Amino acid sequence: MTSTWFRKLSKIPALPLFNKTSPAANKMPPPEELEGYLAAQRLAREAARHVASLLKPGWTEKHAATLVNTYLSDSGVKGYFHKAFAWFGERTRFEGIKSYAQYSPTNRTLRENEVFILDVAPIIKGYACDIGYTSSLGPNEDWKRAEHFLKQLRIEIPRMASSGIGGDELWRQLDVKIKQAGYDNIHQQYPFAVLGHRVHRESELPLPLSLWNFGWQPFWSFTSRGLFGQLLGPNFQGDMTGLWAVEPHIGGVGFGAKFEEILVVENGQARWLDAEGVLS
Amino acid sequence: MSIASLYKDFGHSQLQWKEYGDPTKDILFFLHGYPDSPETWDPQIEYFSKHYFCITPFNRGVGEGGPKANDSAHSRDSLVMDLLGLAQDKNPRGDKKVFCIGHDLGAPLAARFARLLGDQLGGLILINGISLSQMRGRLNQPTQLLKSWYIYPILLPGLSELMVRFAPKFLLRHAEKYGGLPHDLAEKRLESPQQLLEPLKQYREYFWEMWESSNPVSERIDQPLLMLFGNKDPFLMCPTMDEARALGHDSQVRILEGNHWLHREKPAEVNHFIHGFLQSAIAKN
Repeated sequence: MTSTWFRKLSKIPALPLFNKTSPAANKMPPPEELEGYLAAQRLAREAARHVASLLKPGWTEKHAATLVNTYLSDSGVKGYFHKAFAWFGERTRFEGIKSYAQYSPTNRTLRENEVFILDVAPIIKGYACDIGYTSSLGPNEDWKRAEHFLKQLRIEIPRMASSGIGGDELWRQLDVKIKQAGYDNIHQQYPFAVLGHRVHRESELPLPLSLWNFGWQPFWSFTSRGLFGQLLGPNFQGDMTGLWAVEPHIGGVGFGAKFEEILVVENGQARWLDAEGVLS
Repeated sequence: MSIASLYKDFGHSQLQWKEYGDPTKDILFFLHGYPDSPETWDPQIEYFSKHYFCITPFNRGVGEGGPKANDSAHSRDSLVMDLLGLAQDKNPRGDKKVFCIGHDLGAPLAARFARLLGDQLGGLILINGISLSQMRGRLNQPTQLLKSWYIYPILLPGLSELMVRFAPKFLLRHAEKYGGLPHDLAEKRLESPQQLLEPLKQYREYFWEMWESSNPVSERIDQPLLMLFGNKDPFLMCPTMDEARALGHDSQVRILEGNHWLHREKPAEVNHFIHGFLQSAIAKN
């Protein structure tokens, strides 16, 4: 019953009441705007890679997340879709996380050879992005195998999204691929089980309103457009046209891994906004 | 000691520093306070550069470095991130020990930097300076609150800038008279009063960061810690052993007869204590 409603609501791209402030996102932005999103994504990736290169055993998730935010703030970022999340070790597969508040960075310290994820979504000159970066502190065979699989998914996702299937079917096919490869589907544990979400132009107004590391922008941006049309969950049946932050998150034994970056869907054809991507 | 500055772009910002000695030796980072510059460490550099590789970074607003796009970013982590990048450049294999030495406002920086160095850290030395978590622990101590009187006007944006802009001489003479700021350093600071203004923002940033520093995990280190203090410091109470142990379980406190600029006032004694500490820390490592 609930999923029937979710399917119907996912077809609503925007709410007429807020059409001026929050226009429908199932449209392609002009090329100069795509450049803005690209610059934002590249800066966020640079921040994550820089902090990842400095990480040492004994750092806490809070240390890592604070440094990612500092890097971005030094680079001129004033607003965030969400501030940096950092997950270390078993927390990369959300083990032990039972509430939204527990996704936030903790005092969990990083150990040699452990997998870690840095995930941040800055707004730069009004362009929002959302990136997820996974790596390990030293050699880790499990992560190497997972990375290989994620790279395959990165090639397949645009093909699948261009094949004419709906968002719900894309979610299901990826779910099958993840499980066939012997991994758990971790993005199933995200709010509304989202594989991704739309990205929009956002205000950088630094209102002192935030919840669980999220700025006020996502709450406003999603709800003022009807919420369900903005989330690429298992029940999404709306128009896929536009920009999506896609974040397949897989889980192995004792660890999780993901990547997240912007997918562009235009005239039924999908491509990654940046050919280089966030996987190293 | 005349030596050219070095610069590096770390993506989010640029760092300026000077370096001395043999780069193959263990590394000493000397972090200065306010109103100071790396020159404050000249007596230590002269002594230690014979046996160690010494690096003296410029604090934000003092040199020409700083965040690229956000002039107001004077947070502790902004500079610490640069220091970590520099330490990585100078010690790419991580086989050398890195020691952090901070004075005054350089102490919270040194403490945070030390915490994030991981196994490369050889030890931490704080000279008439304390970490932010230690400062937070003193907020219920009236003596410290009285000694920190000068911070309160700094917390009001504009007021302290006005004072520094129009009466830099008065402020530096005050630091000279009561804190023991060496006259030659005070004169040099007067040559570039703009460099007295920028670091004021750091005090404000640190004030807010202090409230987030209640968690001891954020600063506590496993390596040795030495706290060296002049007993006549008008700005800071002498540390207790409990305070030192909260930052590092292997800690020692040495109180000497002296003022806030102890390393300039008693360079031979300070160098002697640092030397002994370094040798013992290297032996432990």
